[in-house]
Amino acid sequence: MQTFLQFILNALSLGSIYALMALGLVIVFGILRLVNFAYGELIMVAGYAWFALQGPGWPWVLLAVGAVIAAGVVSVLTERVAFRPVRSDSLNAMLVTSFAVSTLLQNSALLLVSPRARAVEVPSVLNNSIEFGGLRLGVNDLVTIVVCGAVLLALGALLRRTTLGIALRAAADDFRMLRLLGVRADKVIATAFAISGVLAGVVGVLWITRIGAVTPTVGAAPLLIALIAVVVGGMNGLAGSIVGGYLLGTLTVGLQLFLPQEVLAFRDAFIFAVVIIVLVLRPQGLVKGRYSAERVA
Amino acid sequence: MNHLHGIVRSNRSMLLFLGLFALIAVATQLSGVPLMQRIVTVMMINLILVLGLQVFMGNSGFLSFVHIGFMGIGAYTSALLAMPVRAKSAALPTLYPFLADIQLPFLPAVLLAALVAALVAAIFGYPLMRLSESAAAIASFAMLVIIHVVLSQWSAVTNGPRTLFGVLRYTDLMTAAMWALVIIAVAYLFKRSTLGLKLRASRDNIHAAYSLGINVVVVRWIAFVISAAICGLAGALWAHFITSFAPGAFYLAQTFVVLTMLIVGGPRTVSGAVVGVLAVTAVHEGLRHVENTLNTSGSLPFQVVGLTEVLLAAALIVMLAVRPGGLIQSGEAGSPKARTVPPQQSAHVAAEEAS
Amino acid sequence: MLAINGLQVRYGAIVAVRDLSLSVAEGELVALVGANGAGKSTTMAAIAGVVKPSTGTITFLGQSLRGRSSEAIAGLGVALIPEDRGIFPSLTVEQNLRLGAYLRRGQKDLGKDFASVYRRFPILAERAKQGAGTLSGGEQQQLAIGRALLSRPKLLMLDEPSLGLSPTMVDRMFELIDELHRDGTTILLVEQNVRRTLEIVDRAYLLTNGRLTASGTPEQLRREVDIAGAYMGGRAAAAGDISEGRTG
Repeated sequence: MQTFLQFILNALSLGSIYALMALGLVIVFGILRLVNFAYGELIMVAGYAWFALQGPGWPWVLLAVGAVIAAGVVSVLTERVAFRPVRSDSLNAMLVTSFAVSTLLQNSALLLVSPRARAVEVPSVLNNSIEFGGLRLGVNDLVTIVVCGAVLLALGALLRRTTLGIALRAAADDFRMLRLLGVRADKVIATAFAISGVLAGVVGVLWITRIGAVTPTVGAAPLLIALIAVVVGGMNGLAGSIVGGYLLGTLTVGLQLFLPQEVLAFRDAFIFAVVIIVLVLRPQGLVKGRYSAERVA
Repeated sequence: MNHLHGIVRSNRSMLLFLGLFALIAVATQLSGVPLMQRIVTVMMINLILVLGLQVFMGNSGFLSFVHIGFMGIGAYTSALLAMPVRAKSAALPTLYPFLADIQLPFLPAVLLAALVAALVAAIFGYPLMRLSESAAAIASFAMLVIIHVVLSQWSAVTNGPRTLFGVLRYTDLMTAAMWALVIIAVAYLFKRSTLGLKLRASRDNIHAAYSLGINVVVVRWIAFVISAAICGLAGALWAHFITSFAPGAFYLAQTFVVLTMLIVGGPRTVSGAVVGVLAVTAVHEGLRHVENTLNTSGSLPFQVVGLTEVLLAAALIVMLAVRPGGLIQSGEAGSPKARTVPPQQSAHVAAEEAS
Repeated sequence: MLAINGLQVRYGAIVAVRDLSLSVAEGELVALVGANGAGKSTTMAAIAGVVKPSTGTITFLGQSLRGRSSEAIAGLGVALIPEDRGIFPSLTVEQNLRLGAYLRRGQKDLGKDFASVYRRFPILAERAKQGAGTLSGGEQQQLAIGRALLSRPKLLMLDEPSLGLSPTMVDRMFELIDELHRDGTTILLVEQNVRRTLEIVDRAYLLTNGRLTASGTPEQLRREVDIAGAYMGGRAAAAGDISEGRTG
């Protein structure tokens, strides 16, 4: 029973991070049909922003907010500079652009900071744990669950209550119609990138403080995770990606527990095989969203 | 005589580039500058890779991330087959006996490497060919990750994520150049073949292609397998040039370089792919030279790392924004008339020429 | 109010509309009629900025619409209800309406307009919190019109509003358009139901294969097409509809 509860807690904690990762990727995909390969680098940006701000001994909250803002700003900048000009071209042009943006950001970190890992100062309280009825609750895990829950709720309210949020969801349904109603495409897309960047920022802060260091390639793993969660959960709905994230978190923790060590090395190969199988057999994902093939010109 | 003239005329673009690359190879060989020879050899191998990618991407319109994975498969296959038995048992003590005891000459090893890459592509690629454009791109990316994981975890065969040493050096400038010339011809001929025509028809108008009775999935699949074989070949040549490598060589960084070459040049044309390789190699080597000079001169208080990639990525972004079709978009360079066929019509053209 | 001159629209090698000229005056209800594929919807799409014309001019209230984005054209007061109605299925009815009023965010009299839309279409008030994807075809059409009205359009364009509706709903739809016209709304209507259309419009244009083949008041059109039909053995299916009073 205790092991089971422990398992649930770990799965919940990892799953919430994965869900946010997936959500940040799918919010842009839903509108532009673009898999933003540069998404992982936004997480990296958040990490380096934290690293850059940590010197003077500012409060942790300030570092976190700064990191989130940095990721959001960079995300919007990439949209303005790189993606907007190719938006009306082929899907492949956008995909390659995102690949180029990813390479650009990653190598900028190499160039401007260092190829080597930079340690980030983590609030020591995060490494503590609370004993509770024989259960070890890591403060880290608790914070993660609470923060992710709060972000999900806030995002839900934004998308349901504000006009811009409603427009964002409408854009995933039928972008052409949204523009006919006078909503500027540029504004909606920029908003999507801003939200994606902010989510990447939150994920970045949680991820980096878990690892304790930031490197130029720190975003690669989260990108792959988000990609899997999105494909498995369904690329046409926000709910699907959240489900996909929690599912993947549970699966990862489960495999870690039950798989023998020598097979564990191939874990990612198994998971990506699942991705291909889902794409082939159930392209709409496990959670069916609304089909929309239209792209924005 | 007239007949010969006709052949030259209809293959002018191909002959132009065959001549150009033969000239580059011979000139570099005669120059005797080792650094130049090295750069040009790698360029020839990259040319094979990019052309392999062009055969599939250019004609089908599908984006593929997996092809560098096929390069990796080719590299490891050929390395394992051609390594001396003694060196093999030192580098890979736990290798399966049937692999440990063989040593093939260069040519059969290279050809088998291409074959193995083609087989993997044929078996695992087929379901991907039925997917939509964006799903296929993601699936191909997933496939690259899978190949990378297998290459870096299958320690018995690949030495895991660590470097594999002791591969014999067979590839030199002239071998690489010769293969590059062969593949240039293959890419041109494929594009003009019935198969290539059908594939391009499906790229331009999928519904029209179906209504003409073209089995789009099969046509796409055959192109995928052929292009995988070419990339496998390139991997094998590269393995026997570089002689020691790790799985990391066949992942995102190399994918980026090859995609950049193809996109900058223009994926729809063979001449675009060729020009892209020339242009990007020139820029890449130029930037690397600058980076090295900066680092060795000691004029800066820190090491410059990644400058080449940053500028290359920026160039690619600008290129996509300004000229998304690449340098050579539709008509092959050097053709008698660079005629462009509007998308709606090319399906009919294909039908006529195919019938 | 709206003037089109020498409009040509191409889809690749196919010319969908050629050398079309037409005008709509303020307060008028004007229809584009013609068979399937005659270029009616394409003309509307060109006005709304969804497709780009290859030649010709489109002016609205003295301003050229060519080269403007569809959101900018909507900003000038042109509202298009497309043939598929463009309902956002993942939003509720109320949220759909809210996006209709997007350009008038924060205006004081918005509440009044919402109330009047709900009064005109009581079913929308009833279903306000429901997902718009669950509505029937007729209800979706009402939602689309209500949403367009909330932007207070200077020109309302309806593309085949009666398409796929039950006979009673078709009746209501034509009544509604007539009503809106009487209230002073300027309307450009595309319809295949030619007989019913000619009963309510001020003027109509007949399109055949992308060309304008007749225009005028309903009486003129009926007469002219009848004569042309008698002499030329019928111009097109739609022309036949007009003279025989068939519904399309």
